[in-house]
Amino acid sequence: MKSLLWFFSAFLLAFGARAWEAGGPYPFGVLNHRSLTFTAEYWNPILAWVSERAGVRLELRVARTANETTDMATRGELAFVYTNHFFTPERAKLGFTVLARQEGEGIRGQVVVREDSPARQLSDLAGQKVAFANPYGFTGYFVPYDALLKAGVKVEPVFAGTQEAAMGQLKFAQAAAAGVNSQVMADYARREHFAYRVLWESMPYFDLAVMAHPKVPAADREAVRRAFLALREEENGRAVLADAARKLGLERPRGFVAAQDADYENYRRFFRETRVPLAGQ
Amino acid sequence: MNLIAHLSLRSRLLLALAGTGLLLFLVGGGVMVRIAQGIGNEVLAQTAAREARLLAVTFVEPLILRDYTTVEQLMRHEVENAEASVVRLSGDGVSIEASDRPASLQRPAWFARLLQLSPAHAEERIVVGGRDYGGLTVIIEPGFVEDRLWRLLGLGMTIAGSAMILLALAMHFILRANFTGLEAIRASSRRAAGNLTERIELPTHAPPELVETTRVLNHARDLLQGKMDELATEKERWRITLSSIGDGVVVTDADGDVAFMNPVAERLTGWPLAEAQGKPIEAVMPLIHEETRAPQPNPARLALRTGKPQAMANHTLLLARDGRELPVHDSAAIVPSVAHDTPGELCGAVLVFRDDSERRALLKELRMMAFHDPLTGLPNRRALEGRIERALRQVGIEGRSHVFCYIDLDQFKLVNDTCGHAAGDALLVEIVELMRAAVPAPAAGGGERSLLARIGGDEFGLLLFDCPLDEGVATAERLVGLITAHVFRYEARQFHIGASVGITLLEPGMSTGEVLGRADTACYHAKDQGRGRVEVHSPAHAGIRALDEEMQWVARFDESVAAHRFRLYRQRIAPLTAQDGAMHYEILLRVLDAEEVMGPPGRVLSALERFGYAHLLDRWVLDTLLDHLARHPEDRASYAINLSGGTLSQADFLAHVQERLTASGIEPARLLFEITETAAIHHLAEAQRFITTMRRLGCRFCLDDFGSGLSSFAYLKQLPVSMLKIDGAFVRAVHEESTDFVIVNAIAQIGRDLSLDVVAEWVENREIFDKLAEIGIGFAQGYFIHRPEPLPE
Repeated sequence: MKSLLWFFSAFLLAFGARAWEAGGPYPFGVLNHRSLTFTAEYWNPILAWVSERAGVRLELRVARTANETTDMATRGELAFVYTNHFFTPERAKLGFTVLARQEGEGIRGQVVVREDSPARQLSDLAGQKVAFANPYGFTGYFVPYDALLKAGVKVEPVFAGTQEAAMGQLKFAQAAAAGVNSQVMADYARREHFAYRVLWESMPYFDLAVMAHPKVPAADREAVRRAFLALREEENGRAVLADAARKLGLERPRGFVAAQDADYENYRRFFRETRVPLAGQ
Repeated sequence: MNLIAHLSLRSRLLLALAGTGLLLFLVGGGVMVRIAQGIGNEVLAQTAAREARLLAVTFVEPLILRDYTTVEQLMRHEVENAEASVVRLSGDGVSIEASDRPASLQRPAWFARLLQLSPAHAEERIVVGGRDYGGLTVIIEPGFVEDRLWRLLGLGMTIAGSAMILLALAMHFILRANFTGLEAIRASSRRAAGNLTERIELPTHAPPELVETTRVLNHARDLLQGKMDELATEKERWRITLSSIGDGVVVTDADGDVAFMNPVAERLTGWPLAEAQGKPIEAVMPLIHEETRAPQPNPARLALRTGKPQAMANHTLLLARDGRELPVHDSAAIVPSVAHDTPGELCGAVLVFRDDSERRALLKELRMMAFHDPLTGLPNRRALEGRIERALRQVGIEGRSHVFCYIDLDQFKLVNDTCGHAAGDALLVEIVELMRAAVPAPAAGGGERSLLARIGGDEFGLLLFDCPLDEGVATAERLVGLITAHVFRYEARQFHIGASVGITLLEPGMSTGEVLGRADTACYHAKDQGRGRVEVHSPAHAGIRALDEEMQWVARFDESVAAHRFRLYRQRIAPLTAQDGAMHYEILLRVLDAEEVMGPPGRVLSALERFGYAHLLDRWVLDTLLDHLARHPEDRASYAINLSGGTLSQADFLAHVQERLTASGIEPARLLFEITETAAIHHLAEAQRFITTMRRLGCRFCLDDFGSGLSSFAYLKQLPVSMLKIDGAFVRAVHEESTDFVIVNAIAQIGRDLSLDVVAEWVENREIFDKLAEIGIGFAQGYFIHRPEPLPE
């Protein structure tokens, strides 16, 4: 059944008529790490600047959850997407290519507890609720849950929808621990003054990548790529980044650097080795 | 306005409260509507803005998600469940609108028209991260605000109405409770209707202000009642007074019209009060001049015109209604108003008048009496003096020659004393008739030729006008002859009367007193010369000059006293055979003469006695002695004072002695008065009364010069004396003359028999002293015993 679904999706992606292909702005999907409003607050200025810089109109498109956003991209409704969900074996087949990535040393998956939690190691979480963003999340689900599974700790996974929603469940004691993106967790803790403790942390992975649908014309794709890279190079672009970072309470503005599919090979390797069931992803 | 005037105070207060409440309601209502409008519009605007903001936030995520269905559902939910009437989203290629059906409202339409609230519009752009997702418009109809305000108004009106009702009820009960006292005052006033004894009774819970007010009112009623009683009493008193007094009283108003008349005024004017009231005062009591008959102004009218009291001129006659003409005497006073609003303003006049007939007749009589002797009808001394004064002016200015005669009857006192005053009066009338017939009658042309006047008891003055001295002497001699020839018969007894006349010529520069004095002196001289004579005054005449000197003594008596020319001496009266250890003195008078030599007062005393002033000397002696005794309490002796006959006849001398004795505190027993036999004979009745009274006080009396008179022994029966002083003439030779011895011995015997002390004076040597002791005389006085010495200072 799932195969049929994927087939249908691939069919639509290959042959289905998409609104953005008929003209109009390119839908730019953003993986839900935060609330919709914070997401829009952060990305709308960036997309406006990039659109103007690239001469290619981009329009923010977000679904209610990260899964739904990823499903939208899977259904070919998005021309561009900022995600790390498309390195699973099945989604890799959709042909999205990496144009750029968020600058930085990369992100890590973490299992975190509240600072006052009695848990000192992963085994202390056995039998307890552990909040995750969604079943598609890489650092927000796969990586930490993989670690728990490999550690032999059976927990009760709880999906909050987004990374910050999972962090919210931890903050308000709805879960004993949370599997999180180290970067998003640090940003959230700083903004919300939340004290937490890391029980486990993964190896670093590059942060999310700006990826383009294979149907996006190369010129537009290139223009968009350059524009993203120009953000940190040009003064008004940095101003947009700084303003966007300020709204999210980030420690510093984060621009975009050039990246390619090979940069995300460790993602692909993880999915090959993980014990977490991929369920057709 | 009349309606309000009849409203009670409580109704007025309630009406005022209701009016104020209504006014407050209207004004407050207007203000509240204004406030409600402001609040309503503000609430609408705020609600619209709030709703727009909330909806914008709510719509952010659906718009990010492009979930327009959710947006529409949220809009519909909003307009159905919240205050927004219309919510519209337009932009970003979509336009979504939701509107509500007009809700059924509670408030009436007029309320909405009154408030005039407008629908509120709020616009809100939905921008996220610079991306404009469209404009949100929220419209809120004012209906819900109007409903809320309507409900609020209803609640407010209910509360306000309830408060008003409660306030009205409270005011009603408060006023009823507190105005009960006022109602009591009002009811009392209605019941009283002028009855000031009516008392205002307050309920026990009456407020203190009313209690105080009522107390004042009751007190004021008491005071007023008291004043009205006093006024009524006063009015009655004045009515009775006015009715009782003998004067006529007419009261006019400020216009001079009669307002009141008392019965006397009615009788005198002939106008009854009822008819006179309202008539002008001149009509009721017309006045004319007694002699000219000219109309006279009425004093009441004058008083009203001038504002000052007026007195009617003399010689005024009142023409009574019945034609009588009454001499009246009157005065008018103004009546100032005492009303508090016209103080001092004239409100009438009071005319007081009386029938002056008797008074004027009496005045005429008095005038007659003042200048005439009532017994003889002759001009009296005052009239004579006035006429002499005028005559003297004629002498000086016109060179006319007048003569004045001083006529003194002889033996008049004998008639008076033996037959009484009636006989004396009859004698005087007869003599006057004689003289009247004898003096020059008025000339044919009415010219005055003589004036016969009675100067004193039996003394007359005759002023002869334009008469030479010799003619005057002739006239006087004729009068003396007529009087001497006249035989006065009274009750079968016959008396021959004589007269002595002194004459003087009126000369320029003389005074009336000098004229009288000269004629008097001449008359004295005529008496001295044997009576029945006429003597003309002449300064060169020796006898006249001597008399003048004596008169000068009398005239200068006061000056002599002031100049200490009189001194008191004392001579001891020593007990001879009497057993008496007390000291006794007789006070003797000494006079400092012109050569400053102290001597006996012989001539002075006789002059004073002659001219009737001896009593002055006796008073001085008495006063001086009493002063001395008061200054010298160590002097415990008794003193004898000589009294002249004239002193005994002084009506006030007795009272004077009593007063001085009382004032000085001197024991009366230390005073002994010596009265000569002759003085006692001439003033027997007065002497008896004086001696009796003073003996009662404790004073003693001595009959002086006893034995010198013809009937000394007889007077012992009539004079209650305690001592006899034998005349010195019998004592001086008692040791040599057997007659004197017999007389003195007899007197001593009488003294012993009558238990009287006997004093012998003039004891000048041892022989006399021894002889008197042999006879048994009690006391002796004389140079042998003690020479007179001044009273110690």
